[in-house]
Amino acid sequence: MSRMNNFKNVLLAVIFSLSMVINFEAAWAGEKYVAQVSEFKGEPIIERGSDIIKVEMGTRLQNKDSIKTGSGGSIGIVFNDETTLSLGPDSNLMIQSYVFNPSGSEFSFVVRLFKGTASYVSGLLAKLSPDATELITPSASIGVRGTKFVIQVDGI
Amino acid sequence: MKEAGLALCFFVLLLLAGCAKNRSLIVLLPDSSGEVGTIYIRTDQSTVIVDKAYNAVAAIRDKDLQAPRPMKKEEIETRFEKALAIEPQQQFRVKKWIVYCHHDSTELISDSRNDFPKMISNLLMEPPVEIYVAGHTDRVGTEKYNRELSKRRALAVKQELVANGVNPSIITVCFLGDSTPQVIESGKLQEPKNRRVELVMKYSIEE
Repeated sequence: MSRMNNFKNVLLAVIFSLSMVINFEAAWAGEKYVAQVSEFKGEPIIERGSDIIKVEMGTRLQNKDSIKTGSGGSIGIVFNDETTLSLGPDSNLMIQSYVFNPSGSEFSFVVRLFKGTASYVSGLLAKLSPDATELITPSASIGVRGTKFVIQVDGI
Repeated sequence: MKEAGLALCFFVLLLLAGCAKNRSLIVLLPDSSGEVGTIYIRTDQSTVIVDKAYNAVAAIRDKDLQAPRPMKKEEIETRFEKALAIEPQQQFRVKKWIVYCHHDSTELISDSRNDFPKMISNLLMEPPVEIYVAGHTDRVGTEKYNRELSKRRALAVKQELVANGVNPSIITVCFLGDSTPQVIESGKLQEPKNRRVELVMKYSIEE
């Protein structure tokens, strides 16, 4: 009988810890937004996994999101550290890895511009960790020690 | 006539080949406060540094990078018109101060010590929204030790700011050890310019 109780206790403990993990992940979801749309024109979209999200004012972005502006579209986004990026028409950009965690001393800003035009203005991240910022195109990689540049990638 | 047709075909093929090369054009610009930064452009073959405003580099796959060349403002405006037009308005400006420490110590060198009162009075007169205090070291010692040392350096500066009346709730301490040198040490591990604490301040811009 006591063995049965022990088994029950262990089972309860396992279920409890599993639910903690799930809760923790749910809480973590609040932290996973890395940037926000501040303005846009036309009908840009965000590809998140297999989902396609229509951009609205204030739409929040996550790591691995792809932004496509389409013909006639453009978009301005602000990252958590105040870095800004804006994209002109027919642009395709992916947020590969963005981490701004000053209290944990973790910084990363890696985005890929596959085609189109972009304007970048650095925020806190490039000031705190100058080597953490990288913008990658099909033909080059750009390291940024501040503060503003524009880039145009001709598609294939 | 036949030659002309052939020439045209050749020309079209050249154009197509050109497109398939996948070109990236990068132009450094001054930011809204007039500051001009530095960017490093790398391909598999080469690296080019751009540190002058309106200088441009074209990167073409499998080709060496050319030296930066100035680009006309009108051309920049035409090429990047739509992206520049939708740039988010800057809500904050970021300022950085650096103080230097003695070897293996949290103690500031005398120049930095002398700058400190001016820094504090600036921070009190015009309080930032946030202050990040980031400790750094050179490469003498182990990575783990340097992380600890950079933490001690940052905490010492924070303590001094707070003791002089800076609101502690706006301060975040970061410690980067020897991971982010200010100057790359050529062979030697000791580098006074890398023993430092950086204060990065975020100020809101009044409309």
